[in-house]
Amino acid sequence: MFSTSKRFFRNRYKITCDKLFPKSLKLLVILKTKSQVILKPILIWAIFILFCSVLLVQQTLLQDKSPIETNILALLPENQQDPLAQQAFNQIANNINNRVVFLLQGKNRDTLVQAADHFSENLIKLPLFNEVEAQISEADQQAWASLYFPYRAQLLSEKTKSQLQKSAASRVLHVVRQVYSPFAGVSGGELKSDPFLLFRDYLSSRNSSNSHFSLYQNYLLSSVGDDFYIVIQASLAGDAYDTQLQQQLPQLLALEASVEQVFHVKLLHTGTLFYATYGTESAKGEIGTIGIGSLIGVLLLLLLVYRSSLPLLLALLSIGCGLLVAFVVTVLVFGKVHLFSLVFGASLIGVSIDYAFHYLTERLMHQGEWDAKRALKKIFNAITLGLVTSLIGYLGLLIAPFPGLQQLSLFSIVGLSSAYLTVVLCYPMLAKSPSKTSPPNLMMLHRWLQLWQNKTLRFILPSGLMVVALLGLTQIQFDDDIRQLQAMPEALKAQEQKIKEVTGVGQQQTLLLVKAPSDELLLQRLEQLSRQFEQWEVSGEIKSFQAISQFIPSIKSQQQSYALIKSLYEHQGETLSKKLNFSEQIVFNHSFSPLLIEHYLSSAVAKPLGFLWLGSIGQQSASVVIINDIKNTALIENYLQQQKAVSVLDKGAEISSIFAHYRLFISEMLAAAYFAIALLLIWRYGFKLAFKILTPPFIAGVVALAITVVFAIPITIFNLLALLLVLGIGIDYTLFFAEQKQKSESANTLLAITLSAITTVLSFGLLALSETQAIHGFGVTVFTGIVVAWLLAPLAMQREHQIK
Amino acid sequence: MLKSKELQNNVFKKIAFILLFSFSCSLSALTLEQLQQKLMTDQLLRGDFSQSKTLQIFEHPLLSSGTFLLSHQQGLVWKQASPFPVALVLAKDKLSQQFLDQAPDVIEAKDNPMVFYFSHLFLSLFKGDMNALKAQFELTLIEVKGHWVLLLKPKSAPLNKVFSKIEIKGNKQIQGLNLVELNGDATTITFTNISTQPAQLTEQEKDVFNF
Repeated sequence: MFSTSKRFFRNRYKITCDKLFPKSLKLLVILKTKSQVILKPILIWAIFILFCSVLLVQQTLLQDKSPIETNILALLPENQQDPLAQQAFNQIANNINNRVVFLLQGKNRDTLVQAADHFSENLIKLPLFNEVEAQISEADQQAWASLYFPYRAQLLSEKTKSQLQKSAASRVLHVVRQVYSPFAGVSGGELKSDPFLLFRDYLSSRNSSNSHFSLYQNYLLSSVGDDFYIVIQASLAGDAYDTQLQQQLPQLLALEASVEQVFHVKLLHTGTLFYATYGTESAKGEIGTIGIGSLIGVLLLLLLVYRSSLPLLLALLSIGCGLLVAFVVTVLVFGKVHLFSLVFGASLIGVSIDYAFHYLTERLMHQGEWDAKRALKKIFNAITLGLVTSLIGYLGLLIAPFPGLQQLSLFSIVGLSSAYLTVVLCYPMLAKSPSKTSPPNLMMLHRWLQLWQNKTLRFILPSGLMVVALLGLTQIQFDDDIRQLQAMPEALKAQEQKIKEVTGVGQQQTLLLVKAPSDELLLQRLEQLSRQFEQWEVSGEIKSFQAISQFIPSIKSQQQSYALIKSLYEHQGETLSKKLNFSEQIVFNHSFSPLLIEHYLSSAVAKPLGFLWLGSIGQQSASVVIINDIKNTALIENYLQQQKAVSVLDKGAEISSIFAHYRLFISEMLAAAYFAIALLLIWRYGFKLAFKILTPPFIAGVVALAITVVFAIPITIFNLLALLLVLGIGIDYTLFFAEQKQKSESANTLLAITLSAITTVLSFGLLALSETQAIHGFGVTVFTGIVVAWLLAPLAMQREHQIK
Repeated sequence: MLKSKELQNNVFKKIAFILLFSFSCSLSALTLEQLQQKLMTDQLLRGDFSQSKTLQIFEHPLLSSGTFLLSHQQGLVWKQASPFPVALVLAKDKLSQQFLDQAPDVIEAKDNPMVFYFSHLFLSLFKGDMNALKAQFELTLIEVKGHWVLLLKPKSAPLNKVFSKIEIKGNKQIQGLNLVELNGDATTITFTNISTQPAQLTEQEKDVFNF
């Protein structure tokens, strides 16, 4: 209606012009009107694309930091229910992510020390690290003693405390025995400053947790079986997820290899850096494979079918514009693009090319009567509807407060829209000349379509597929584990396990967040927990635990110790002095001055575990307790549930619950998208045709899910995302069949959708090769879905008698 | 006055050291390796000990005596008889103390690394384990007519914060230890009546190390 009136108007305008202006002037006017109608939007689009290119350069090359995010956790929503837990987790994670642990293994102690010398000297020279802890300096060795010594009259281990409470006299006997024993090494200086030898007991009670290692040439050395081990730790100069830092990893690996070769030792390492770099590398590799693979596929197809350079350039233009604008806009909105979005983004190549295929196929098949504008008009409705239906799916994800999904959907929405706009705005201008290559032989496609005229096939194929799929779906299993998202190379895992074994750290750490209104009350609470955990340590319910109260007793406990020690001096001083024939009286001359958490934190001893103290968060003091290897889960869970001020910081479980939540959310979104699209289709095509249009993508979705299940892949939110994509793409296919007005056009449509199905399958088929479980599953689902959607698409074709 | 005395003292020390050093270079036929060999030949030593602790804070030195058994393989048994009886047994990573007829009190190395640090040092001194000692001390060996003295100067903390020097004396076997602290406090242990026979642990002795 609109276009006819426009044409009418234009014709009238032309006639008037003819009358009023000479021929030369008329040309100019036509040019001007044309430029208004066509040139303007393409110009605006070209300027926009140019602007985006400039932005891209500004965002990537001109930035110090890469705009690519690699931390999986950055994709996930923050913990909304418990901001304190979120803050605690971030603090702990920052500290842990920042560390790298090396373990040197060798048969000869002294060669091992030489290797450690060489390694640590060169390690600090690498720009990767800003601190290397290899040899423990004298100051560091003395740090515990220097911290505690001034407060020795108020520090007692739990064991000594209870002994003194039971019998103070037995302490005298203990001291006398120690003094005579040649093994105890009691010196005159020690006896003078601490006649009851309490301080050495306290110090060794604090140290027992480091028992796997002893000092050898100032290195922490451990021996297991025939092998010796030296542990070296280092702190990163930046963020483990920073891709620029990760790029320096090869230097470290080269150093490790040279140390191994020269000294004949083995070097193991572990740390977030290695996992993160591995993730980045494998994602990059995947982007490369998928991107290049689908690009090559697209190029080959284009060359094979269109046999000319123009379609090739046009296709590359729409793909390029799509990816460019999507990247630039995502960085603008989110500040960074996650690698994950890029992996999915690379697969957009296969989808965004669809609009181009329809146009280019028109051009190929209508060489004689080619009109670049009319061709666009012909496919305009179909590709616009195709875009709208795809956007419906993605828009739903944009609402979700889930950064990863938002990014993914924004990237897709912008990418698809840009590719679409490029086709609509640029193609009619750029593809004015008709195609010169002969159309391909479509015999096969005609035959395939002919089959669809058969009523039995039209019924049997879809319903048969549906039944089989429903059978497969009975085996469905869900999995919301975070590990789905991260590629975990076996070699790195094995090294981590070995390091944990040798260093005596448990295989599994549980983090507890403990809160209290003040530092002192927090320490008391930690002491109370520690007493319980100590019992469990002895009875084997847990392997070990670390709490700050093990290093800094509460003031209350210090006061108790002070009173006990004072009374010991007063009541037993004389006895001891007599037994050992002291030349001077033993007197107690210590005043009480509390040892505070600040003293600990500002000492070198806080280096390994000081990060457990979170300080004040909000109105509260908070600290984290680490439990290594819980053996009796039920008992400990039950106990922790009764502790009001204690919560388990379990990022894994939290993420799983988020995934489970969003798995449901996406299922609902999917249902809503089907519903919205159904309404749209019914409005435009009526109930019957709408049903035919929607059935193929629906069955495709069900089959895709069933096949994924049959491959024993547990269903995650990513498979549901894949279904969203299957819906969006699958409906494109059927829409084209529904939109065509002539039977003769069916084969053209089928050619176009076949081409686009092949490219989509190519790109997502490549995703199925991914090492990351989530991406792999995603690939399998999309792959199957698209194949089935293509297979069933002719169902939406209007049959001959209907067209007539 | 004090200064000149100190100076004199220093000069004397230096001369003494140079003398000792040249002595050890020219005269001593014995090298550390040979000494190690020598001490290793007897895998089993039994004998008596007497210990004297001369500390400034004591009015009189603390004296104790008893018997010992050193097995290079198994460890050390230290049976003190006077002034009170106690049996100490040091194995590779365990230490047992038994008083009279009380049950033995066993400490494991992993529970108390600090205690074992010194116990192992003592065992290394006793056995003449040069490799272990070299890591922590500067060693000087002097030998005159079959008698040798091994002088150990601690190189690093914590030992150099406590000891100024440790001396080990011996001829065929070890004869004594002298541990001198920075403030002049000293612990002297003398070994007598040393025998190397029987060359094997008796069943009873073997039992002692099984705890």
